[in-house]
Amino acid sequence: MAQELAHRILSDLSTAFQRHPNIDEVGFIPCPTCQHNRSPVVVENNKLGIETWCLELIFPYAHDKVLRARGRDDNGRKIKVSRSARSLLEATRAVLLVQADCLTAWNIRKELVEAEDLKCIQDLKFAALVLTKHPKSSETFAHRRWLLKQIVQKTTSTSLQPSPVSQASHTNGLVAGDQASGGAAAVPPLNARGTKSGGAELPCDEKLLETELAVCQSSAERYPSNYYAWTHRAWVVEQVARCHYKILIKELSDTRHWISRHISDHSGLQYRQFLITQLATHFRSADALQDEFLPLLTAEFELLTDLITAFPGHEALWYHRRYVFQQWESVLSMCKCPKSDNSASSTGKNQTHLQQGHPEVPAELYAHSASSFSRDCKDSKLHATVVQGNKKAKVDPAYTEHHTLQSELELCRNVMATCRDGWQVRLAGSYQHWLQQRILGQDNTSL
Amino acid sequence: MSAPVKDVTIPEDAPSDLLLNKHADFIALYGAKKDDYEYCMTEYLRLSGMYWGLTTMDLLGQLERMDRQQVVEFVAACQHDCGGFGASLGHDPHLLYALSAVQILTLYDALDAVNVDKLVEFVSNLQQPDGSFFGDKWGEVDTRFSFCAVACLKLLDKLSAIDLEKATKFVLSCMNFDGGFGCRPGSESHSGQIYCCVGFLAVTGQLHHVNADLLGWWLCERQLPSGGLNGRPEKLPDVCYSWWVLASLKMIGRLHWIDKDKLRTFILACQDEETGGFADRPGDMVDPFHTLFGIAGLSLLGAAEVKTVNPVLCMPEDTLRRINLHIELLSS
Amino acid sequence: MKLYSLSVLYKRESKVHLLMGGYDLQSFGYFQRGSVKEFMVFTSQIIVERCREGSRSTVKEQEYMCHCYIRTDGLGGVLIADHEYPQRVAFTLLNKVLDDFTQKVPAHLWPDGNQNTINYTELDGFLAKYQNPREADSMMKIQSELDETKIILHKSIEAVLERGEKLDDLVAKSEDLSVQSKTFYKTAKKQTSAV
Repeated sequence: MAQELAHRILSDLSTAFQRHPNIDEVGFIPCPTCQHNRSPVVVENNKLGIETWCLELIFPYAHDKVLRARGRDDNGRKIKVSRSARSLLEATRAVLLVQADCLTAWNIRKELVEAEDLKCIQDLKFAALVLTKHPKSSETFAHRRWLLKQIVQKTTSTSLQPSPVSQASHTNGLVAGDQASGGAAAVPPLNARGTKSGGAELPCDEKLLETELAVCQSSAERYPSNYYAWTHRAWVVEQVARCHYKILIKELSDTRHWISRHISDHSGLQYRQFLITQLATHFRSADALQDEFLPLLTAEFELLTDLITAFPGHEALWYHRRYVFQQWESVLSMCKCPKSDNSASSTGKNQTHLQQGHPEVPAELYAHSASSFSRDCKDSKLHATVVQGNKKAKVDPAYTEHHTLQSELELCRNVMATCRDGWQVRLAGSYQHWLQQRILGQDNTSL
Repeated sequence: MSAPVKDVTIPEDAPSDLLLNKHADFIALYGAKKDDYEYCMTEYLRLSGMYWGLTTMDLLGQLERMDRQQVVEFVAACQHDCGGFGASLGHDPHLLYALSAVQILTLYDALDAVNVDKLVEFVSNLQQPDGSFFGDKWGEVDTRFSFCAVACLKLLDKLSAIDLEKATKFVLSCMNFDGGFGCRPGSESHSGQIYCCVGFLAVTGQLHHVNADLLGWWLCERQLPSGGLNGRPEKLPDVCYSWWVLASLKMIGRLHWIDKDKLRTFILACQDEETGGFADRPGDMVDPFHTLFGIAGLSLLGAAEVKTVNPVLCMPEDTLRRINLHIELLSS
Repeated sequence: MKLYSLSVLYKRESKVHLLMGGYDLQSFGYFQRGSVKEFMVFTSQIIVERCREGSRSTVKEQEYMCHCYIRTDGLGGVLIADHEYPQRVAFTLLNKVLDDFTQKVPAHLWPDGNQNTINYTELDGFLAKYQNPREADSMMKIQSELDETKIILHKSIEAVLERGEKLDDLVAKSEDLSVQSKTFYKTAKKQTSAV
C-alpha cells in the first residue's frame, strides 16, 4: 500500500518536472496529513512544493531504490544489480531533494553522466534546484565541482591543441591544468600581459561562469555566512575562470554592494580577501604594487571604516580589517625593498614572526596567507574599476607603515573612548591587541 | 544601546548538572529504533553516527550496553573490495567512513574483523601528487580528508604508507594569515577545519608549524558572552564547535585561555532533561553528534564522571593506551 | 540587513488589533511566505498586547528582531527586521510611520478599523525605502532625539509573555494561524541546525 503510494508520488514528481522544465525552486509545504486526496506535489510559478506528510513515504522508498542500484536490498542483503537510467534518475532525484548530502545518490548521477544518460548541464540545473532547499549542502557543491571539471576538461580537449600549461594564457580555450588537485597552488596565474586592457578573452564559457556565480550568490543569500557557497565561489574563480584579472576585478566590484548589506557575513568578506590576494599576483613589480594595488587596499580600508562606524558591533568587519592591514603591511615592505629578495620569503617572514623559534618553515607554504608577488615582471595598468566607488584613491606618499600602524591604533583608541556600544568597544580592543601582537612579533624578529 | 551580539541566552531553568545516565539511555535507545524515518534520513552517515554513539557510551563507562558482535559484523560488512568503507550497507566508500570504521573497531579491539592491508591501500591511493587527499575516487579535496587519512593510518600504525612530507606541505598551504586553516588553500578559517589541520599536525608530530599564540587567540575569540563557542566570527555558539575549538586549544597548549566555567555552563545547558542527549544550543533538538561532542568537551574541561578523552582522535585515552598510541601535544 | 514586516496596530484596554501591515518576504521560500506572514502578524500582535503604552522595546526571537513602539494614545507600530538592521534606524522609522499614519488616517477610525476599512498605502513604500538604512535617511548620522537607554530589550518572545503563558499554547489556540502555519511552527521548532 505504502509502496504503491510512494511509487505514485514519485511519478507525480517526474510529471511535474516534465511539465515544468523551468522549475527554479523547491520547498516543503508543512502539512501533517494527506488532504482531500490530492497529490502532495504542486507546482506554482515554477516553484515546486512537496507536502511534508509524504516525505516519510517517498524518501525510504527512493532510498531503497538507490541501494538496490548498489546491489543491496532494504535489509542489506546482496542482490543482483539491475539498473535503468530513468528509474535511477527519479530515485536519486527524490532522495536528494530531501537529503542533499547523500553522497551515494550523487555518485550514481555521476555514473549516469559518464554513461551519457545525463548531461552535465542538466545536472547542474538539478543541483542548483537542490541548493534552493539545502543551501549549505557540502555534497551538492562537491558534485557541482565534479560536473564543472567534466565540462572544463571537455572544452579543453576539444578546443585546444595539446599545449603545455605555461602557454595556456595565450590561447582562448580553457586550461585543464592540474584539475585533480583542486588547490590554488596548482593554478598558474594568467600572464599579466594577457590580462591588460581587457583585451584577453576569458578562459572559459562566460555563461557557464555567470550561472555558477549566480548559484553561489543565491545560496549565500539563503544561508548567512555560507562556508560552502563562498569556498565554492572561490574554487570557481580559480578553476573555471583561472583567476582571470577581469573576473577578479568584476567580482570585487560586484560583491562590494552585497557586503555593505550583509555586514556580519564573514564568509563573504573572506571571499574578498581571496580576490584581493589573487589580484596581488597580477601586479608583479614594486611600482605596480604601489601605484595600482595599494589604492585598492586603500579603498577597502575606507569601505571598512565607513561600515564599522555606521554599523557598530560587527566582528566580521573588524576581522576583515586585520586582513587588509596585514596585506597593506606586506605590500609596503615589498615596496621598500623591491630588490632585496623575492616576495615569498618576505611575506613568509611576516607570517612566521610570531612563530617562536621555528623559522625553518618553508616560506612558500605561506604563499596563501599573504599573497606572493613576483618581481620580475612588467607592471600592468590598473583596470579603471579597481578603485571602486567611482573615485580614485591616491596613496599619500607620507602614508608610511609606521603611520598606518599608528592610525590603526588611534582608530581603536577612538572607538574605545567614545563608543557607547559595549560590544564594539570589545571588538576594537581585540583589534588593538592583535595589532600589538604584530608589533611585538616584529620586534622579536629584528632582534 | 548595544548592537545585538549573535549569541544565545541560557534559560534560568536550564540543566546545570551532567545527566550521565540519561545520555547513555538516549544513545542506547537511538540505535534501537531502526524503522524510524529519521534513522533512514541519517543512513548516509551511519558509521559516523555509530562512532559518535559508541564513543559516548565508552566515555560514560557504559560501552558494554551495546551489542559488540552486531556492531563489528556491521562495520565489516561496510567494507568494499577496494578496502574503503561506506557509511552503511550499499553506500559508497569514502575516507570519512574509513576513519569512523577504524575508530569503532579500535574501541572494540576488533581490527582483525576487516582487511587492514586493503584499507591502508585505499587510504594511500587517495593521496595526490600535491600531498592532498581525495575523499573518494571522485576527486573532492578537503583538509578534513587529510586528517581522516592520517588519523586512520595512525590508529593502524601505518603512517609510513603515505608521503607525509607532501601531505604536511598541503595542510600548511591551507594556513591563513590569522593562524587558522580552511578546507583548501585560500579558504576561510573555520574551527572544524582548524581541528582537522591541527589534528593532522599533532598526529604527524609537526605541531611546531602552528603559530600557537596567533591561532590560540583567534580560537579564544570564539567564546561568546553566553560562554559557548562559535566556529567562525558572528555565528551562533554550538556544542560541536565547543569541542573543535576546545580540542584545538588543548592540542596547542592554550586551553587555559578561555573561560572554562562559562563554557561548562553553556554545554550543560544544552542537555535535554527529558530525553537525555545534547543539542547544538539550549532548547534545540538533541542528537548523537552533539551528544558526543558535549560529553567530550566536558571531559576536556575536567569532568570527573567522564573518562578522559584524547583531543586529537576524540576517543577515550584508555583505549589509546591499550594500543600504545601516544600523540605529543604542545605544552602550555 | 533586511526588513520583513511593518505593522500599525491599535491598543485599547489591552485589546489589540491590526490596522495595516506591509511585508517584504522575498527572501523566504515561496511556499513558506504565507505562514511567515501569518506569524509576523501574530507576533506583532502579541508584542503590542504585552508591552505598555508609551514604551519602546526590542524583542529578539531567534534570528529576528522585533522593534515595537506604542504611543500613549494606543497607536503602535512593530517592525520586524534581521540582526544586522540598526536599532536606531528601526525606531526612527517607527516614529515616522506612526506620525504619517496619524496624519492620513483620522483617529476616530482606529478603534474599529482593520485592513479593509482603512485606506493607508504607505507601508510598502516605507519598507522598500528603508531596506537600505543609509540611503533611506540621514538619520543614520543624527543622534536622534530618542533616548536609546529607554528601549527595553527582551531576549525572546517568551520573555514578554505573562507568567504562566506559553508560546506553544498561544500558537495552538490562535484562530488567526492556519493549520499549515501551526505545522510550520512545530517543524521549525524541531529542526536543529545540522552541521
